[in-house]
Amino acid sequence: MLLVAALSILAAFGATSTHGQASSLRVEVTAVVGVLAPLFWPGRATTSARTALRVVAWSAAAAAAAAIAIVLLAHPAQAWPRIVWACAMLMSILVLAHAAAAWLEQRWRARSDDADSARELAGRTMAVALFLFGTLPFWLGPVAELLSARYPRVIDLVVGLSPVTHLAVASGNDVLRNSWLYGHSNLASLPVSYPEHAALAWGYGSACAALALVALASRLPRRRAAATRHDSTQEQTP
Amino acid sequence: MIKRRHVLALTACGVFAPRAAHAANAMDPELQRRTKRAVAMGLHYLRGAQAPDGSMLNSVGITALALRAFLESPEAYNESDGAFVTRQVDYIVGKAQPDGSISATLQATAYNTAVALNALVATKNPKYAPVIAAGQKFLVHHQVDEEEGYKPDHPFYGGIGYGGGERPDLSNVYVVLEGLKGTSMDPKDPVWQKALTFVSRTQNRSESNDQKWAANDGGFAYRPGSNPPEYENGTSSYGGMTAAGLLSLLFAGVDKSDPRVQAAYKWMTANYTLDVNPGTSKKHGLFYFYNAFSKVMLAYGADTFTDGKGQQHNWRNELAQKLLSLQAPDGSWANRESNAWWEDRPQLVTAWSVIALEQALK
Repeated sequence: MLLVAALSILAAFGATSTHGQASSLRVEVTAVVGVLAPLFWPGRATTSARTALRVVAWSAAAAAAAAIAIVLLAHPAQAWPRIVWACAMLMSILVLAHAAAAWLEQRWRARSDDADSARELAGRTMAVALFLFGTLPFWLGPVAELLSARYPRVIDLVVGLSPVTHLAVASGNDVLRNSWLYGHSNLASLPVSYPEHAALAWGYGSACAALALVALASRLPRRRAAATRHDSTQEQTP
Repeated sequence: MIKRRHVLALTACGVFAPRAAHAANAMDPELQRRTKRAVAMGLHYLRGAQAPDGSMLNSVGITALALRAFLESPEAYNESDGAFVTRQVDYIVGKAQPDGSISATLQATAYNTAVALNALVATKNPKYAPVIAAGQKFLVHHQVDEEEGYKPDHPFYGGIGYGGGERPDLSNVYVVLEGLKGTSMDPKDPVWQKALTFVSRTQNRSESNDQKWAANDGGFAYRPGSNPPEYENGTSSYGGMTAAGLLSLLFAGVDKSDPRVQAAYKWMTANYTLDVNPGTSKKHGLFYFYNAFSKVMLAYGADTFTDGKGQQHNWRNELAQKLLSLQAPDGSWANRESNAWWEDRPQLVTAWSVIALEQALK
């Protein structure tokens, strides 16, 4: 479903053009799949560990769908290392987005009995959040340029916070100067420094590691509780 | 012995006098004196605009342009003249990356590298040969070709972009070809022919441009099929790009008698004006045009030309007069009527303007 939805939207955006820009296609596909994937979020599992596994599995599946879409739409053909980098970045973004969706779902489930509504609402919220953060340079870029006289790093911050920028860096695409955007906006003149590969890898790596620790930590009290229950059961056995 | 010395001196005069006297003959002597003064004021501004590490706007490209302005000035500044030169050289060399690029950021790596190469070559210091060689390789590698999966029929083929992505345009192609030419790139290297494939696809000349949109006025557009939004994304020829296209043809070794060169030169002279970017009614990219125009007229080798209305022009005199009239009291230049492509930034525009005047003085 995700793949079909993504391909339909990309075709409507003209991604099937035979004279397109290879690196832009990687950004377009990963961005569209990235926004759509949380809409198909399968929901929390019964335990935190299984939810974490689901977060990783669904993010990996979405990244794989993006890779298939790139291969299907690529004209000219794309080198695999480029596709892998772009999809690895997408997966990193989606791990964080789906983890946030799982957390929101848990909060909203506690308030209402309708589990499906909580799951759907969490997915939609994350899709909207990704869209807004992704397009940050487009709707906040001009303001950032105005503010840059007083705060020199504000443009870097606005552009660097966008997941689309991260996808573009991983795809080898100068997103503010790519074919489409250059022709339809004046954002190309923004004096910006994109985040370095190493900084992005460190940032996403740290965030994912922190989430893994949280997932592990949430298992510990349960294990202890289970062990305590086990011990008390043994004591009551004659 | 004395006789031999006299003979040698006379021979030297015979060889060098025409070159030295050329600019003097081509430019009004009083204007030449004022132009040298304007160059000195511009360089004074650029010197004051340096950060403590020699950089300008933390940009390798703008720093390299300023450095080139110093090195190619009538005073012929070099590294022995002091920190205002060596700091800039050190800043540029310090930004050399393992992949050969010379850039402080991920984007515009090709543009920055090309401009930096021209500045490093102008130092005439053999110490920088390894950095220059690595930069040259980076630029060749960055050209859009089969390596990135693009075939010769793709409009991007042979082009070169800013460097953050592969989206090519004529402006960057001209800057990179200037860098390759300045670093004595082998004229037989395939990079030139591939670049010509792209350059031809930006010229409004259907005989040599296989793109459907190509018109027949001989001028150039920004890239195959579109101009920047500042020029309504059309494919009309305009001055900045026609100068860039003509320079690209000349750098790539195309003969002056070639019909592509002739058509572009005819467009340049027929549409000549220094009040707006020729072919448009706007002032976007006006100083970029002045800079490229000075280079292309020098490279083409014409002191005077006749415009579309039959009027004769001395490009050195008119360009110098125009730039002198636009110089601010602090020695800087900036485009007061358009901020497109950073032309509101005096550091960049002053470097371009000084280089343009230096071309006029040659």
